[in-house]
Amino acid sequence: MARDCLIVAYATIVAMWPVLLTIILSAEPSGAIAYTAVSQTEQCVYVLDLASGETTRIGTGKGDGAPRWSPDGSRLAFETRTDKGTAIYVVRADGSEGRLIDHAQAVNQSPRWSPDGRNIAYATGAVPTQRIAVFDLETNTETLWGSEQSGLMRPVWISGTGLLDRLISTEAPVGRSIAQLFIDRPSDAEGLLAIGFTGGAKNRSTDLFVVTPDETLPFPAWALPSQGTYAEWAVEPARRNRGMAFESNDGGDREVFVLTSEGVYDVSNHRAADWNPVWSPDAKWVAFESFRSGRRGIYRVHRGTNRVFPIAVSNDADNWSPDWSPDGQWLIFVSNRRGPESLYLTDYQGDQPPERFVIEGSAPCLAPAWRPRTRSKAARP
Amino acid sequence: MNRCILFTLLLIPLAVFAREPNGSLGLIQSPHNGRPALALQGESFMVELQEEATLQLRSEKRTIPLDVTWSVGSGGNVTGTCRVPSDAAPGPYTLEAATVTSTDQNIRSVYLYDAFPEDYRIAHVPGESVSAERLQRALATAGESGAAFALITAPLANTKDPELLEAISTVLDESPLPAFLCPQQNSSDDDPYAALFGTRSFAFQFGRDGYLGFNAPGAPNRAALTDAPAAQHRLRRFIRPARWSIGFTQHYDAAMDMRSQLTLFVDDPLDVLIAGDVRAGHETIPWGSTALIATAGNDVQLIEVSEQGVNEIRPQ
Repeated sequence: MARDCLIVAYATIVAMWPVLLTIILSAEPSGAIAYTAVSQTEQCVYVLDLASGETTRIGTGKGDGAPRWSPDGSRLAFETRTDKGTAIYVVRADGSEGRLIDHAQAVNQSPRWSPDGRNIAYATGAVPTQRIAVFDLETNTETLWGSEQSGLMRPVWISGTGLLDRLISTEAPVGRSIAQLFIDRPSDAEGLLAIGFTGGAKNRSTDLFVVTPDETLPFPAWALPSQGTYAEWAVEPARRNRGMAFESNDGGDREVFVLTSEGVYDVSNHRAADWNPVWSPDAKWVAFESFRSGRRGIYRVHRGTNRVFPIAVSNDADNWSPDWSPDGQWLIFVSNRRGPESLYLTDYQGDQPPERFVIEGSAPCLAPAWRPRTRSKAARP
Repeated sequence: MNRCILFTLLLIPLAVFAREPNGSLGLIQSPHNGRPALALQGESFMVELQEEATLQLRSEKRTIPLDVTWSVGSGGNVTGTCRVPSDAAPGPYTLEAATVTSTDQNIRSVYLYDAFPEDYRIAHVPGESVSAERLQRALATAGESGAAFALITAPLANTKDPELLEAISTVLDESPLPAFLCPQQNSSDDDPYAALFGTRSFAFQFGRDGYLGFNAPGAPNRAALTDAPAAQHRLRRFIRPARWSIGFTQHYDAAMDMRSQLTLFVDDPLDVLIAGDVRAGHETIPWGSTALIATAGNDVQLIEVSEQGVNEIRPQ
């Protein structure tokens, strides 16, 4: 009898091990957060170590923008002010080996790392004639991507996936099925999604574009929510080709749409504006900002059920700029609920009252970005 | 009787302390001389204070205690809804506040009306630079023009000189008409301007029309990372029911923060944007719906608002 009980207990532990492991690992948030701190004299990127609470100054302090981690968590990139305009600054997570990219143009914005961490894409040139450039960190070369079309911005990578193959294919998928877009397979194709200006001097709008080293292609209309001129913004692909989220004013006000193999849906659907989608690491959830309670709050929506849950909402303050922990259990965000903008932490279900990070001498703190899991010792700073 | 004595004692120091000694906003954060409240007799206006206080309006002839309903505000402040007595005389007032430990007053921060006109003129004070003397002359011109109020889009916050801003505040204390200041495009909440005149974005209503003053610099200015885009969105919603929705800012250019452009010119486009400077190549707002009224130079620009629209009055 006792032996049977032991066997059952052992089998239960083995069966539940993945769940237990998740609970153990997510009991406390861990890792590091990069953020932009502002003071009367400077605007600088720092890295906060969650375990020790120590911060490391890694920025230039000359007007640093929102930091972006490299996929292996070893480096960061962000725009910063220079004498000429704005340049992309690349630095290791401990603040060493910082350098400005040598750009051809004076204005450079919105850096994004390629999945392999070798390249950084960004918008280059003055608005509204900016284009997309890619900087190769190994060869130190800056290359303009796409055709001669200008007015492109906010690039995000979709390279190495079948999604890109199908988006740039001259042949429409059989039956123009959206599901065909997301048949996952490795690909050598390199490409980006970007926002681009459309229309003329009196009827400007924005749309989604696919940018490859040689071409700039409009995102296929049949894969968008509806026909018509709507202003798309803030496109964000999920990891491993599992979908993409973007904003559009299709429907009358600004909404978050998700494009997956099941179709394209307005997942936030509310008469108040919904902004800035951010995928969870497992691509099951999209966190976004919404004004549905009056002030700007953070919500999450399940990509399968479209059910929306509040994460951080206040009646008398704003909550914004969410970013997921690598295990998907926590969110870091900005709030002014206790005066100056500070970083707050909450579990992704919003069950616990948000915990405020008190970072002495560097409030307000903005644009937090959670460091990805470091996969190898070589990648650590 | 004791309450009356206590109230009187509390208000005695008010004649001494206006704002902080260095001119910064103090107990009363809003309204003030660069962002006054406009209210009808018998209706209400909003205030924002650092803490709840006893409030009254004062003019040369009369003092009016205010009945205030308080609620929690942003950043630790409180907001109050102040009921204006129906027999309060139209005109400019000083708002006075008193707590047990502090007092404050903002001169010419509240204007009362018996009715808002349907057709009226705005005096737009643009300019590439500004001084206290120039602003004084411009406001005098605006007052003589019969304008209902002045929108000042000259780049006041371009200066980091607190003394100049204090001098400008002194000029506003004597303005012949309500005056609304708009910060320069690259100002921030840490600038001396913010200490004297408050946040970058605000809105007010004049009769059936809604006005939104804002500052939306492009990246990597931190405004795009802060609550500024959300504030503009909320303020745009606040003036949505207006007959005309009218924005005003220091200048428009295509590099303006894109979130602000989507909010103000695409998703819920303003009818008109009034700007104090014209940049080459940016003479129109390309998004299609919002008309741009802009002027380059230092002359006061008169704009007529009526059922027919919002139009610049060109000199004959």
